[in-house]
Amino acid sequence: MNADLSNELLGLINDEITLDPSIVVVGDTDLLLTGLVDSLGVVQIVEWLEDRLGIEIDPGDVILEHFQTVDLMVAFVDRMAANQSDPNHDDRTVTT
Amino acid sequence: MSQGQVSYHEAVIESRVIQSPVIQSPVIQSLASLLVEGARRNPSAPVLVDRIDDGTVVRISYAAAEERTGTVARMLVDAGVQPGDRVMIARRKSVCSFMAVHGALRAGGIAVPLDPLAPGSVLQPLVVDANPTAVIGDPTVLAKLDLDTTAPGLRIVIEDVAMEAAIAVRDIELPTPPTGDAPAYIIYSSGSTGEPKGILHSHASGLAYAAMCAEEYRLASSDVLAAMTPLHFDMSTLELYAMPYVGGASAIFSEAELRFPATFTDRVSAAACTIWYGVPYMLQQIVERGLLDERDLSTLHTIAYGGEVYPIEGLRRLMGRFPGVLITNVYGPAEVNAITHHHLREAPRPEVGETPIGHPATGVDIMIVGEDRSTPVPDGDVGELVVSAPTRMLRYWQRPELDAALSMPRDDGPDWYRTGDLVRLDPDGSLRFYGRRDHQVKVRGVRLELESIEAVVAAAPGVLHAVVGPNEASDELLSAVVMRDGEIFDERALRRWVATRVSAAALPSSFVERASMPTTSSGKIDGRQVRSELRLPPQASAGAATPTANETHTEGSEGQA
Repeated sequence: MNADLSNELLGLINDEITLDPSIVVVGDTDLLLTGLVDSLGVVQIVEWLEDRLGIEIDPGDVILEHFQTVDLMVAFVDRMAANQSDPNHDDRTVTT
Repeated sequence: MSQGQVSYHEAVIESRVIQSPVIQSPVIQSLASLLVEGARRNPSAPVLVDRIDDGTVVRISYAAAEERTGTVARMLVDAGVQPGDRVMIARRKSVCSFMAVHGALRAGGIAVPLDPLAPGSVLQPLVVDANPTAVIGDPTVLAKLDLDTTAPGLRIVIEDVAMEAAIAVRDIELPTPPTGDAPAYIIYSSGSTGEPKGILHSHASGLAYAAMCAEEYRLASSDVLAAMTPLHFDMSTLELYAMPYVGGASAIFSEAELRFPATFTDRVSAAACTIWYGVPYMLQQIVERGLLDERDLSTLHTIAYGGEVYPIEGLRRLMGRFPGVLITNVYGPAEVNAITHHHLREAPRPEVGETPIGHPATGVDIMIVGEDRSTPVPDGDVGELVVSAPTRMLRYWQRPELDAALSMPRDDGPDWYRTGDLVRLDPDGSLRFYGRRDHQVKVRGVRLELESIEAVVAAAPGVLHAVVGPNEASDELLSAVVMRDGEIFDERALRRWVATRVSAAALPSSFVERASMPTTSSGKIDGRQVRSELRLPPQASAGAATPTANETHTEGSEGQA
C-alpha cells in the first residue's frame, strides 16, 4: 500500500472536495455515498491520478470496484505500477 | 407577443385546443394493487432484477414483492398509519427502497421519496413540510433528517424488515386500495433551496402515466427496464408503476453503479435490459466512457431520455452507437408527468437546432398561450405550453398560491396546468422546446430555480451580489459574485459555505469575482447579461465583465473537466 499516495488523496478530498465539515473521509469511506463524487466527478479523480502518477488509466479500469474508496484506488494504482514492470501481466485479470 | 392584450372569446380559446384521443380506462384502479395484481397474474415472473455482492444476478418475483410490501404495509398500519398519512422513504436506492414505496402505498399512505445524498439542511425542511407519520430509512440517511422521534405526529421509523416483524404483523388487515383522486405520492421539485414545493400525484394520475408508457413504448411483460434515476426524481415512476402495470421487470442499480459508465454497461448487460430510461448527461457519459464495444447489449431495443435537452452532437453519437434501437425524447414537467414523446427516426442535423419534443401522448390536450398565460397565440408562434392531461398532479402539497397561479379550471377535462415552458407547434404537429419561461433551469436533469440559489450565494459572508447561471455545454452551474468593500474573495470558503446549504446539483462548480454587476434600465441586476458572460471563458469576457479574480483562486481540483 502506497501510504504517501493514500495520505495525499485523503488530504485532497478532505481539504478540497468534502464540503461538509462533519464528514471526515478515511481510507475505507464509500466516496459515492457521501456525495463526494458528485461534487468532483469521476473524470476529475481519474485525471488527478493520471497527472500525479504520470500514468494512463484504461477506461475499462474506471469502474466502481477500483474507485469506491481511497483504499481501493491506491490498491489499484499500486497493481498498475507493479504490472507495468511486468509487460506480460494484464492488470484487469487481477482481483482484490 | 403583440396579441397578448387582445381579449379572445372563450369559444376562440377552445378552438385552439389541440385534442388527442381519450385514454382507455385502466383495469387496475390503484397503484397499491400493482404488485398484488402482478402476483395474481403471474406470481413467478420477475418484477426486480438485482445483483448480490458476488456478482450473481438475482430476480425477485411478483409473489415475493407482494409478500414483502405487504409486510411493510402491515407494519405501517400496525403503527397507526392512516390513509393519506405521509410515509417518507429515506433510503439509498436498492430493492428495499422500491419495496418501501409500494409498502407505503399499500398501507394507504402517501409515499414521499427523498434524495438520499442531499445534505441534512436540504432534507430537514422537507420533513417539516411533509410532516410524515412514518419514515422508512437507512441509518446514514436517517441521521441527516434529525428526526424528533418524540414528535406526536411521527409514529414509526423503520430501518429494516426483519423476519420477526413479518410474523408479528401478519394478522393486520390492510385498507382497501385507494383509487381515483386519492393522493398517492409526493415528488419534491428541485431539491435546491427555498420553500419546499411538493408535487402531489393521485392513484389515477400515476396509473394514467403507467398506461400511457405502456402504449407509447409498447411495453411487454418480457421487458426489463434499466432504472437509471433516483426515486425522488419523477422519471423513476416508469420503474415504480409502469413496469409493474405491464407485468415487466426493472433492474435496480445503486447510486454508485450509476456513476461509473463502464460499471453501468456491465450491469445492464448482465441484467439483459431491454429499455434504458435516463437523462442525457448520463447517456452521454455512457457513449463516451461506457466501453460499448466490449459489452453484449443485444437485448436493448429502446433508449428513452428526458429531463433536459440532449445536445445535438451527443444525440448523433448516441444514434450512431445504437443503430436499430428506438431512441425517444420524453418531455413533461413532473406536475403533469411525461406528456409528449418524439421517436427519432434519423440523427438530427446540427443546423436544425433543438430536437422537437414530439407529439402529445394519448389523452393529452394542449394550448400554447401568450404572455397573459391564458390567451392562445397565433398558430406557429412561440408561447407557453398549457396542458390538460389525465397524468396531471392532484395539486401542489400545501401551496394553494401556486395552485391558483398555475392551474386553470376546465369543465370538460382535467384542469389546465401552465408548464412555464416555451414551445412552438411545428407544421407537422409536433412541438419544439424553446426553454423555460422564467429562470428555472435543469442541471443534470434536476430542476433548479436560479433565483433561490442566488439568494443563498448572496447570503454568504462578504458577498454583495450574486448571479448564478447554467453552462449548458458542461451541464454545470456557474456563479459570479461581487464582494463587499474590503472583503476578500475566497472561492474555496464560499463554495464550502454554499455547499452546506444547497443540494449537490444546485452547487455552482465555480465562482468568479466581478468588480460590479451590469444593470438593466430599471436598475436591477442584468442577470441575463451576467449569465451570458459566465458561459464564456474568462479571457473572452474580460472586457465586459472586468473580472478581478486572480490566479490563486483556481484550485487544482476545481478546474473544469
